Amino acid sequence: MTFPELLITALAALDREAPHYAREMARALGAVSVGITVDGEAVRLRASSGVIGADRSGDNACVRIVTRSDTVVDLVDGRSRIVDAVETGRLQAWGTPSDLETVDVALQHFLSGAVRGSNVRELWIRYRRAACGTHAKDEE
Amino acid sequence: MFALPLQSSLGRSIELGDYLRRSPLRLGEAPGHKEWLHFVVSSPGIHLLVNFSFADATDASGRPAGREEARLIALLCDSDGWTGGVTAPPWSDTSVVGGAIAARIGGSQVVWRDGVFAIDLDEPELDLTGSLRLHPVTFPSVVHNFPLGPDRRMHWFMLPRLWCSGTVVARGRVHELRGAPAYHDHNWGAFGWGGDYSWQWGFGLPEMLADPWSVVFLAMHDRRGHHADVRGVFVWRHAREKRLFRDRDVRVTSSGVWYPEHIHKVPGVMRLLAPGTATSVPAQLTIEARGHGDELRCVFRPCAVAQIIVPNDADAGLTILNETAGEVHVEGRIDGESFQFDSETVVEFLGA
Repeated sequence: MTFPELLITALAALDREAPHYAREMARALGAVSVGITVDGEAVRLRASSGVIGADRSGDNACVRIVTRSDTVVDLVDGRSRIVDAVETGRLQAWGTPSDLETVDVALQHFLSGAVRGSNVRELWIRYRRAACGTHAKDEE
Repeated sequence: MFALPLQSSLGRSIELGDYLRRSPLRLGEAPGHKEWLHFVVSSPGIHLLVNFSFADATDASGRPAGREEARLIALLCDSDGWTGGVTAPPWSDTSVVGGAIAARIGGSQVVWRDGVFAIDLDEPELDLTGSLRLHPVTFPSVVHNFPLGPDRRMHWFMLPRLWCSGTVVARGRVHELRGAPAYHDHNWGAFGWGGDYSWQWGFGLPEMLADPWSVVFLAMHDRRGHHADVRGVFVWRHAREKRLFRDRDVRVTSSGVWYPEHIHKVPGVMRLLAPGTATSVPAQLTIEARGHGDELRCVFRPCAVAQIIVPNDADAGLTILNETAGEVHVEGRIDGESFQFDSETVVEFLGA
């Protein structure tokens, strides 16, 4: 499973399982779009008419984030903090301070819904398994 | 350890009180059941916490999901700090026997057999494996109907003192346990996380088995910690419960601010939702109990904390259980007999 697949499927699951958090995420994001590239694969996150969604495009985003799947795994598993990943260059982010703050608030809503449902958790387990395989191969 | 009749009646009292209740959901009753078997081993240089937990699942909006879910919490604290975490395998990979003391969650299990709790941990993802045998020393005590909100109640079976032998391997480091003091309890009831309650509870167990005193204390407050609802200090001498101090007999004082350098937060994803190192754990917790010529004083000082972070059932907030390793000094006089000891312990501070 790639990061774009994870995000697109997880947002659909969030909308089904935790519509309140999906709406709050869309409200927080407003007009700010986010292009995320993980292991070279791009996905764009945005809200439209109060509905959160993602598509496979990294272009023309207000905020751009570039990282690797092993960094994503370390962040979600609690082994690393976002600030540490940024400071060490493992995660690069471009955007105005205001837009970056907006993305952080939207992320909090996403996570608040995700930890309350079972589907996103199961997706995450599949993603982590795939990500660990990817970078184990890289290091061989 | 004991003459056979005592050992036999002790075992019987555990079988009669500690069996898994299971969710009444299957019987068509209201959802909201939570239940766990909790074990803590504390001896110099090591604290191990293992919790087998079963609950009615809720959906992301806090509504009953019509199914159960299981979680295993396995945490170990040594000179390298806390490690371990939480696993939540699918229900199909769980086995729990209502009416018995037997449960398996993923690769880990607990079973009561031949008068001993046998715990086997197989959690490679948490970097924690082990095999332990816990032998009860004291008779249990049971407290029913702790109020945790309107029509919400929790029950508490506590077995304050066991001795533990076995091996635990954490991060590749092998810990051999030989006669280490241990505590066990079992909570069950129908309640939600994030209600108008908080608690502090802990235990004091002497390192030497020949030292007869065992102590458990509890203070329950409203969510903000302003109003005390229930206070209790339970004292055992050898196998039997000797003294119970309640409510007005008990004074609980938190003093100072404690700044841990690091907090081990589990599950790891919760670090993104609850970052930082602020806690509700004070620099010192003092429990004083007095009545009818008896008195007891426990002073706890923390040294390392792991946070188990749980989403609230009814709102967007989080409940944080601070599993706090440290040292407790206990001194008292019961029935004219004075005693004191210092020991390692884990005190739990539950708060928002």
